Amino acid sequence: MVLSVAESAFIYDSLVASHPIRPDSREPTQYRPLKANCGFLPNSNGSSRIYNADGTECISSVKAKVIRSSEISDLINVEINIFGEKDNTTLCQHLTTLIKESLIDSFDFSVLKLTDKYYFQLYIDISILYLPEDFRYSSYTLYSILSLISMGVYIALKSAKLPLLISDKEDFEVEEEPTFSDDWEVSAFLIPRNSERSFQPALIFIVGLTGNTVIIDPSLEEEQVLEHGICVTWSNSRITAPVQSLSLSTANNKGLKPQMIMKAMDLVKNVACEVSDALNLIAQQDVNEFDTIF
Amino acid sequence: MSASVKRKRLASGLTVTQKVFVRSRNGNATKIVREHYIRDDIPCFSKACESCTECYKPGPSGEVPHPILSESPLVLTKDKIGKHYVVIDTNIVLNAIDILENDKVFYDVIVPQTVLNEVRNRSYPIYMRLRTLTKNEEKRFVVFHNEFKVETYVPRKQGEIINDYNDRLIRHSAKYYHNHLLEAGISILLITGDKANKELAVKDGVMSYTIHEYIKLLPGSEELNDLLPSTENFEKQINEIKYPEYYSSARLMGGIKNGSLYQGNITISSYNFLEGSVTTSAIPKPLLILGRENLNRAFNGDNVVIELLPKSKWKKPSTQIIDEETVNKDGLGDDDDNEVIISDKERKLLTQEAIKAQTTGNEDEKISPTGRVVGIVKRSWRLYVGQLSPNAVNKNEVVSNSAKNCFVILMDRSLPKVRIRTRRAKELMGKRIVVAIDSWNSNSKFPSGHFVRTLGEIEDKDAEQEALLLEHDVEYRPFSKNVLACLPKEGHDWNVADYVSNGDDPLLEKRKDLRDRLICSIDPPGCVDIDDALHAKRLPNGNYEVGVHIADVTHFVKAGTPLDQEGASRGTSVYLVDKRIDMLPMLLGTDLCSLKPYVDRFAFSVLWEMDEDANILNVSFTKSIIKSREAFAYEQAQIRIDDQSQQDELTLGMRILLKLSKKLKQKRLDAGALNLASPEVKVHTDSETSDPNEVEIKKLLDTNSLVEEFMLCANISVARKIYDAFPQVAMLRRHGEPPATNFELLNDMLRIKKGLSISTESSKSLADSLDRCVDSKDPYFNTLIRIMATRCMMAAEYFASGNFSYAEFRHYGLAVDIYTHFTSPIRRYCDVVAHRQLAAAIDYEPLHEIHMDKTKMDLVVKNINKRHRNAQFAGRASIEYYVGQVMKNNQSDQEGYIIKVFSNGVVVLVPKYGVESLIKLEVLGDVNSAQFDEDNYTLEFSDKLGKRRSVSVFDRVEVSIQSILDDYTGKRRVQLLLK
Repeated sequence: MVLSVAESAFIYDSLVASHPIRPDSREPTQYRPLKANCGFLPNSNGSSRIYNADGTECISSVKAKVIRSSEISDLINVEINIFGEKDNTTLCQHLTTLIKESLIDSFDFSVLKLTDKYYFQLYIDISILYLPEDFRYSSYTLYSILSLISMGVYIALKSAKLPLLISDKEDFEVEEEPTFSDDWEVSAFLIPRNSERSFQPALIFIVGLTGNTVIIDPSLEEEQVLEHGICVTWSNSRITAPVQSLSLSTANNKGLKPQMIMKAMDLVKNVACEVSDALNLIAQQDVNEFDTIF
Repeated sequence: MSASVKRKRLASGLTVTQKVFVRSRNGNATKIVREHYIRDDIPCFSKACESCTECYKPGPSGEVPHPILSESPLVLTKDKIGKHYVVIDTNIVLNAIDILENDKVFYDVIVPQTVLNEVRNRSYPIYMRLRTLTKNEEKRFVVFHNEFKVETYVPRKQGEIINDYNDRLIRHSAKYYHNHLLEAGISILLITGDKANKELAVKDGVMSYTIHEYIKLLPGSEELNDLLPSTENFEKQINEIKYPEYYSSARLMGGIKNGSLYQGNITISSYNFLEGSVTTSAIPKPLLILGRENLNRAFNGDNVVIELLPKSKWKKPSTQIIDEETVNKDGLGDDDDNEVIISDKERKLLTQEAIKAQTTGNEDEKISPTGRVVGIVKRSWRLYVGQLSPNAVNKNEVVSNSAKNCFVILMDRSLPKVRIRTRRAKELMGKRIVVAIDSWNSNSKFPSGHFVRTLGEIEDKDAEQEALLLEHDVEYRPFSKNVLACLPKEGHDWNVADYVSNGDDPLLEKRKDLRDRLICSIDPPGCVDIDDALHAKRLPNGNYEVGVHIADVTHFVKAGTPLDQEGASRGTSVYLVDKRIDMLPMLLGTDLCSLKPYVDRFAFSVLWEMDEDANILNVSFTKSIIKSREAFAYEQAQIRIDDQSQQDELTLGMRILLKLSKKLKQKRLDAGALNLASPEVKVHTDSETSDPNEVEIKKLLDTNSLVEEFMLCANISVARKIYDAFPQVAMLRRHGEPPATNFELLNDMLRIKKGLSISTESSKSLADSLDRCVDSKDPYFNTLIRIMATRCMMAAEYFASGNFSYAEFRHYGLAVDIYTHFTSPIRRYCDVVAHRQLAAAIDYEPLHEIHMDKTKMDLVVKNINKRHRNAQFAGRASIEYYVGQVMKNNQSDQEGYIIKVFSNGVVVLVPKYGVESLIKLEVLGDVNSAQFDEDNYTLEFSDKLGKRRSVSVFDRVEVSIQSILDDYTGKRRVQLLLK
């Protein structure tokens, strides 16, 4: 759906006004409706399903495997599969790198450590099931699903559980093969639920900029009139890397003012806690593995 | 999992839910989700219940289950219980399995599936005992699959501990039975050892008792009280010794993976029960395990994990004979060293040292690395035969009924005594008894077991025979009903003519009619299972047609039938002195398959065209119909051939066979076939009482080797054919080349004592060098060396061809490149497989998938190798027993040879009886005067008369031989005394 000149001018004007009005009458800090649940895949250690009002749907799965390595970069593997895209397209690779890097930066790897020699290795598989047909190749798609994926992965990680190790933790001198309890009920959350050891995996926010206005989660219509986009990563109650400038639209290319970046980050600081709390609530829901497979 | 409804209805009476668990394997952990099906048609197995009648549906094998629990179970008047069934909890099974097995109490018992599963996870031997109970319908134990039944399945609550969940499942089953049988007037008692569980059950309205309370309710409870597990576990009272604890399985797996620990089967030396050895792939020679602590409760044949000991503890192999008696007297073999923790890195360095120590030929530092057992992967525990230790019963003691600990001495000397608890010690004294081993805790010097049954008086012929069958794991029970159902229904009336005229077998036309050939069989006298028959005739072109005809067992034994499975599991017939344990039912072995004379029989024939020099020009295989003209004994056949007045066709054919067989044999010997020897004897039994009365060494006639040569020839031809057709799964037999190290000791003895040597480069050079080992003064010396050389050989084994490369197929002893067993399908299972494969190779009938699948073949091969070995041992043990009986009454002086010298005794072989026995130093003479010259294999001592005497290996000695009953083991054994 391409906007006419009049339409885009109208939207642009209402966005840059001193009291910005978004076409769908959202607040600047308001997301479009999202629906999410977790524990969707019974065979995964953790999983989530999240979808947008426009039908964009993302399934994430976290699986854990035991490896003998301490190479941090080996411990988290991300693979993104997009409906209708090959694995090696720039879009897939770009998304994979972005998600992986942001997770590595925000992750507390001590939760993956099993013994002196063994670690859990995470395989995070993400599948985008549907993209709006018209905009498959637009930049909008990329940034819209980036935010969606990051929330999906967040829930999947927060709800993931790991089997309980029952063999010795100290195996530096004397080799032990890790052995686990066969009772799934005694498994523990990957990210501990108590506040001292808990942490938040990175969430990626997409902020649209136009004039002096910053808006979160720009919609398809807004995206066509925006001057700039910034992706801001948030984890463990602060802004973290990467903070990137994005070219959300090609309509109104203007210079990016530094104070606008600050403004975008302030916006994220405003909403982030609320977003992560909402996601935590979803992750803490009872995982009803059974209903969902039939 | 959540508490919400998590079921989905699939069909009427069938719903599905989910089970989630973790599979921890090879150090990895995977979450596994399984579907769990719940159905409504699981019966309650009570005869009193009418509503479950529709639930008895035929299982996969077509058998319909039937109610087992009695309609009129035991009535208890106390507590207004009335007729009742019992539901048992897991802890009752684990702690009081013995009383459950008792035939006075516990009838009509319901075992919930939850209990069965828990018991299996906790203790496999007890699980097996419970399983046996549930199969025995007299005791009326039923397994109730409560987790699959819709009324008794309950989902696990969130956060519920697995034990609580299991208890809840068991209570739920008890409650279900309670309500289900209310109308029938049968009450349900839940017997549990868990206080909390009992209280909860009572709250649920289920009557619940502890086992002590329950027994008190029974009439005659006084007597039964003795059988109850005492409140304090009797194992805890024992504190004789502290064995090192085994490593955790995590540690074992980790260690094996990184190469710091090794896994292998342990063999305990039959001369010294405190010395074991483990062969592992990492170290070239078997690793020694010395002493009680290091053996750490391992049984002969257990699959164990070992670690190397530090270099300071490496030892020379023991030159002493140690048996349990001596050790228990002076506490020998206990070493108490402080444990030092060493890292895996050091362990690996140690391994390299060990390999170096084993491979350097340096005589001065002949030190062997030793190890210790740190874990047991799989116990080789089975039922054992033994007898109560003589000091188990105090003769003056008043007969009391209280249970007491006794020791059972096992027949196998390489195993420790077993502690059992019995009230019948007096009664069992002097009997052969069967015991099972339950556990061996680290604080107990000996394993604990329990009494199973008695076989009879020691030295009773039947008891001893059964004992040795049990000891060698030979299945001797009669064939079961469903096995016998596979036999032709005509029984002994089955015959070829009827079968052919019936004509409904499409394979008949592929069968060749060879009834015109003049076929005869030659076997040992009295043979009834005739596997093979032969014929030969001159062809018009001057060559010979030679045929070997083998009983067509596979015509009757079709693959995959219960009959076939039974044959496969028995693997071989077992020949004892006066008894034969058949692999296949008598009807087949001695009648329908047996190639009896004068009647038509089905056979599998190998036909060759041979020239004058016994070269094979042509070979063909066919299923056939034959008619044997005569069944000869070896001697009869020999007489007929030698009798020049006999000029009939049959005799002429036999002369051709003899002529050709001699050429075949010569060719085989030229190729390097070995002529080995074993001290084989034959026991003559009185034909009426079957009491043994004479022993003789087996004689060999020309006709023996006539049959043998053609059988070898047939086996080789068949082996080539089936390998050609099935390169991956052909059933073959190989005989590995013995490693030169096996001969080291023998060669060293020969070199030092006789200035001779054996070459082991090839079987040809071995055969030649054995021929050269002669002592002009002693004609028996050559045979002695052959006997000793035989013991250095590898054992021949069956294998599926895909497991070895062609070069390794070689049969070393026969000096052929490929070999199989084809000629005795009545008594060996390998031959049955070879028959089926050959039949498929000649397009007679397709090969059944069980012989095509390599993994299945590997299992078959493993089993028949084991059975074959056991059968040999059982046969030898039987001869040994009878030789003992023969000698019981006649002490005599015989010629013997010294074959081993230890620092405290010598081993002497008496060829006349084929027995060998140890003579201990204290019997020989003064212990303190003895001097052992290890390098010259010589023991010097002062004999009883004070005369200085020296004996060394290969010496011919006069011994007086007598048979004595060993009080300790209850075994009759040969006692030798040096003259």
